Amino acid sequence: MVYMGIDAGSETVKVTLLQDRNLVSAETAPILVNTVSEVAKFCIEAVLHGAKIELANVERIGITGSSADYVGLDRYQVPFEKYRPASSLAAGMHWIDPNVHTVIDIGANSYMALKCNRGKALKTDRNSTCASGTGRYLLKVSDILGIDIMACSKLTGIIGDIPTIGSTCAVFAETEIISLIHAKKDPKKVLMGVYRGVTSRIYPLVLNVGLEEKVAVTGGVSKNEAMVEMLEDVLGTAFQPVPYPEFVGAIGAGILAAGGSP
Amino acid sequence: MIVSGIDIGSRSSKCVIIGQDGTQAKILASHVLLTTPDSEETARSVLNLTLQKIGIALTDLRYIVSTGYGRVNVSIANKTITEISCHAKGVAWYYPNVKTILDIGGQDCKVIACNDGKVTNFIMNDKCAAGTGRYLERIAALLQVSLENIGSLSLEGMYTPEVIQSYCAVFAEQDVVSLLWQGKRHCDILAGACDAVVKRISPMITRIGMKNDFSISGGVAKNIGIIKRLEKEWGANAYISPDPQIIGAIGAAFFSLEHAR
Repeated sequence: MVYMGIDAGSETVKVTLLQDRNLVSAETAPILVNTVSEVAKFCIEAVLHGAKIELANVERIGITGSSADYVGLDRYQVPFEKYRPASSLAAGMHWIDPNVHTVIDIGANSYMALKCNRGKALKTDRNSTCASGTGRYLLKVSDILGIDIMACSKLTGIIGDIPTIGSTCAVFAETEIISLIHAKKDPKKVLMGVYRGVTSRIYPLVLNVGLEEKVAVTGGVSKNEAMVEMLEDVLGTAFQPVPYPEFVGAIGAGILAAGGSP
Repeated sequence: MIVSGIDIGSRSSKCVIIGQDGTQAKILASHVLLTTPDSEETARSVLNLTLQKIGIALTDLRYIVSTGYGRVNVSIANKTITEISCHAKGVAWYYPNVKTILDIGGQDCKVIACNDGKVTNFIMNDKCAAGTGRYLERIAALLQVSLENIGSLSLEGMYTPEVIQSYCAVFAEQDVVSLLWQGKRHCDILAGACDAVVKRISPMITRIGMKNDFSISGGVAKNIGIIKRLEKEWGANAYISPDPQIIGAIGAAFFSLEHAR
């Protein structure tokens, strides 16, 4: 039995294909100038092509994410169901590692702490209206500093004299960062200061939902090793490895479409 | 007696020189500059440029009060006073009847309750760019509309605004980009942005209380779209001084007069 899981985020669309609960194909693409539905169509065709499966063989599609309503699934003539991001994340995490009970998801426009068990979301806490601490903020910062944050995501060894970014607001933090550059601070140290600021935004959410023994971090920002290292340091725990960190929500949506976790 | 007030704001720096002859005080010169990362240097330049306008020397100034976010970095000042007190003082010189002042600057927004030029209560937001001049500045930049024009353009879209859903200035920019893709009119998008600023400030006004005679100062008070919307929202007339952006510096200069005596 084949099920499809779609996670339409604010910045990228992620599509996964599950056959008998095994991940057989996955595709992601950024929403740049194309509409969400165009990007989703591209990803859907790519995963079907990759697994050599016809759309008609897909039993059901599970969809989640902040842009889910813009995908336009009506035109595909496959039954579909919409799920909450937290439910999808919990189901996806259970599929990847059932022992993980605290998940930190850092996406382009939002971040969330989740406590889960047996594939069910028990408690969540998230940013609501503010860009501070999100992937978008980090991208803006990397532009200003002229550092490709993904290529330069290993910053271990940079210690001492890390500037504090006092502003909470992402807009004001930009100004503060520019002032630090004018004051001839090392851009890598400034970036560490930014990571520390982001960490301090996420930390209380994790404490609020509860820090369990096994913790994992998901979402696009989880691929940033320096950021993750700093989070580990602050939380005093080593995160469990997650093989496809940006696809966890999409996998979860597919699992839920298949009837949920066993 | 000639004195000066310097207001080093987060976005722009203002200097005012006033002269007093007997009991009659009048503004002799003023100047506005963008604030650079070096606020000490900015203070010196804005003061020099103002002095040059009327051809007097620094030594002719009896007293200098500095105010604003960068006030502590102005070493030539004799005294520093908060911008909240200075705005109350400056507005009182023009409109002694005003009891509520909205100071909407580049990076913060304050609602000040005052009586006779003295602050009785205030509230401020300096943590979040939503509802500040910066928010409008960024949206204007996206639309490639100059700051001076956004107010009047936003009035053209007064009754057909495109609602900007996001609260955060960063997310609002994305909303604006997608509205542009949809081919929405600039004036309607700006109307939505001005509505958003008013919506952000209004709860602060509710907390401090609105007295009928109110004034708006700070750079955003030059935006007719914001003025009209605030007047409509609160059913009151706004008293706007000839140059609302320099009100803080004017207030600082009047404090200089008091201290120089």
